[in-house]
Amino acid sequence: MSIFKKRGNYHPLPETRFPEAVSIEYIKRILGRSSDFTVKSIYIGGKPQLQVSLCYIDGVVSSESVARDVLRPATQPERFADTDDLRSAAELIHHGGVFNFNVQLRRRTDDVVGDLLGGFCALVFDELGAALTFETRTGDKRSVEQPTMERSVKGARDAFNETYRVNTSLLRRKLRDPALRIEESSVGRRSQSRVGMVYVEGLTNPEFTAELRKRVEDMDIDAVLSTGNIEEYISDRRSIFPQTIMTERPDKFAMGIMEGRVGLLVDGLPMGFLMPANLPDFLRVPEDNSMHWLMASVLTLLRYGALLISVYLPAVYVAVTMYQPQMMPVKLLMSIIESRQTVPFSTAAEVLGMLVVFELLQEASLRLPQSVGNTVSIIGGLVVGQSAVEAKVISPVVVIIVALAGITGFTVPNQDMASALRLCRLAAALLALVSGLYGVLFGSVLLLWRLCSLECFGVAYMQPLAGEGGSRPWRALVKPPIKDTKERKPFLKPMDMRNQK
Amino acid sequence: MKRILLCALLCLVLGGCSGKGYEDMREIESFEIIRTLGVDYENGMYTVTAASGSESGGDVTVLTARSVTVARAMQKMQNYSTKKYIFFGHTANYLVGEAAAEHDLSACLEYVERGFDMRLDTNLFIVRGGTAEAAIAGASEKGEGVTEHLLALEKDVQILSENRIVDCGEAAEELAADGCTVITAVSLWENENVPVGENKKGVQVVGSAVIKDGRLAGYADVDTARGITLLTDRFVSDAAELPDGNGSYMAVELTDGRTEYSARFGDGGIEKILIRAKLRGSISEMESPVDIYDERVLTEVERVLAKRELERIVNVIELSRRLDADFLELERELEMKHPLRLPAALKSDALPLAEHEIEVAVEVEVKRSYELGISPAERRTRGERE
Repeated sequence: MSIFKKRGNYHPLPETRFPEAVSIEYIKRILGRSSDFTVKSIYIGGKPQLQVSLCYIDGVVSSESVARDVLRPATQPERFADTDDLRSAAELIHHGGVFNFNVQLRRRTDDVVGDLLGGFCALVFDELGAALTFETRTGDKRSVEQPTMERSVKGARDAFNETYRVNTSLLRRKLRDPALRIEESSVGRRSQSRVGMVYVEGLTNPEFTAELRKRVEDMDIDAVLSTGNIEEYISDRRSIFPQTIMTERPDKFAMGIMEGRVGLLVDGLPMGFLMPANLPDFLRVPEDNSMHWLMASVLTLLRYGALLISVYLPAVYVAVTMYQPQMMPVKLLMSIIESRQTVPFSTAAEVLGMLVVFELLQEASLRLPQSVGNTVSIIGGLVVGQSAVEAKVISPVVVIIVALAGITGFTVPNQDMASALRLCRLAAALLALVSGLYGVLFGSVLLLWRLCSLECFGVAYMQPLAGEGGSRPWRALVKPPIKDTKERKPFLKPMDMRNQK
Repeated sequence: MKRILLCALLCLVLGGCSGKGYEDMREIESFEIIRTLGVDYENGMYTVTAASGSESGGDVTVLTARSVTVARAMQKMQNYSTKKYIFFGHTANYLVGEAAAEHDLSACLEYVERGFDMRLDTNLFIVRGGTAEAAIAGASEKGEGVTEHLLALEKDVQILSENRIVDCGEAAEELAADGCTVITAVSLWENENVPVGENKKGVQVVGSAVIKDGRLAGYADVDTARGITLLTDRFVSDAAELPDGNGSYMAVELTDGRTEYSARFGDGGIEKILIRAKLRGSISEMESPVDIYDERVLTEVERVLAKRELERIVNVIELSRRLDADFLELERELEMKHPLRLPAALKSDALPLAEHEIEVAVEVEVKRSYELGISPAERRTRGERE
């Protein structure tokens, strides 16, 4: 049940926004007040009776491309020597009279406006009530760079960027499979963002593709400008745990597709989304496939251990020191007592305060420029931390506990999962304060219950550790040699189970 | 929404609403951690003495309280300081004074067994010829506290097989199962060889206390206590100084000792109980050179050692018979060996098990140790002779 009140299933903008016939006056009315909207009147083949309007949005299109590929051939008299009416001129242009590989005949104003905003220029034929649009997008885009969040040691070094077509080309270079399908649609009534659903025909379960197609179609929002817009719409339930695998690495995206997942690429977002997602996926990195299987398995187990330490260490410290001190080795206990003798705060206040300070430091260093961020980390972490310990405002044990919890949290490869764990860590510490280890246990049961009740595209979130039809749960913890992994994950229900001979 | 409300409600019930959680909560720096607890008995009142830990070399706090029960006396200690909470959860040693042990050791263990403040694995000691209060206070006067003495003693005693250290849980269990047990006996002593400024007083092992039917029945001396460790299969190592026949001494280090129990059955039940002890060791030091390649030398060493061990075992058996306490757990050991015949024989037997004839055999195997100071040629010659 949703905790947010729904306000009715409607959107202020109607499906067809511009119902009138295509005409330059109408388009001017729609876009005319913008300073970057440019309209030129031209004569096709230099003939005044063949007057049409060329319009485009400056900056979105390449003016050089417009002049070279549209304006110049359209005004050359010799091409249109035998053409006397606009209809035959339009047909000639549509069928190769102008050197442009992507020419569209548009009869709806919505389509023309969409194309103009998408980097096309348009020849508007008022008399015909139609327009020809030419793809003349500007080439200004960010080059393919190294991933910043998911750094690679032995893997590929390219990353998605904000340009949709670059992203699809990066994917195509990884997967030269003719069965790879990129189903494109437009999302966002005002942003008109291109969204591509990626899957491999004959491999990806059609239920996943149908479900994602439906969810994308159901997305009726103004603009897709952030990853959250997409994620919230395509996720099954509201949860702090990520239900889509977001990656900026094409190789990871391609691996997901080859496992039988369905992907989503969105214009303007330097990320790819993969569905369905399971908890163990968030603890794997593409480098695991580049390592010896034993090393990869050990590292995976280490990540699980780090996850538990990250969530439970502060909570267990609070619970044990405040409620169950007999559980602690006596020498450690005495050492902690000694270190806390002059600290003015209670253990819980100290731990919770330090957790909040840690979050603040992290937030501050993230939002600032990299060089300043590093300074903040050093000043905050080392100078202030050291001074606070020396001034006996906090005990060194708590600094160690919070720092350990934070560092182990960073070993979780997925940032969304790491953020979720940060919340869990705080909640566990609060429960420990209220009821000691009993509270921590209660919180763990709640957490497990929540994780086990989550589903993503009909696949249990805890697969293959738990869930109906799960098999080989050890595979979540151990990575077997690639030669022995001849089948894809069964819970993804791929159409083709075998991945090698 | 319902789920969230349910979770919130459960959280409140678990800790907040009842206030139970907050009541149990204590700040760790307010703890006075008690590491050694002593109990004495006099005129119907228990005196409980508690000594705190001093891991960082600080002063040891010693508290004493009196009441009719151990539990109440311990509760009284909480009133001594408004700032400190006396915490018994890490008590490592539990000393029972001789009078308290004679009166009723089981009563002293009752609190440890039933209460949740102390652990069952707290080491148990009997203070021979004195009170726990005097031992704790005496050994905690300066520097190292009584706890450090007892913890060091615990390790040494077990490594040298001088005694068996039992904890409160084991003692209570053995008393319930066999009606008797053996507990390490300690006493306060003054060591003159400590550096100036340090506490001369400490605790030392002075044999074992035999507890029967919950009360102190008698003591085994240090040598007999070693026999008990061998007979109860707790032997780890031992060292012996033996005359070599030339007026000098040699040291033998025993590194392995095992005891086997069996019974010989006749028509009327058990005929004889056989105890067979096996020890192994090696010569570790010689005051004057002895030809250890000579078999006769080694045989003589083995004979002397076997005699020594036999005497110890006989002393243990005699003590057991004298006190009528089966602290060797003879019945249990024999039942393991003869699971079917022993119960049947015990039914038909008129004599109690301990009254039967006991035959003891001790076998000691001593090996020569390596010599680095002889030439290869001599070593070869000796090897051939051997």
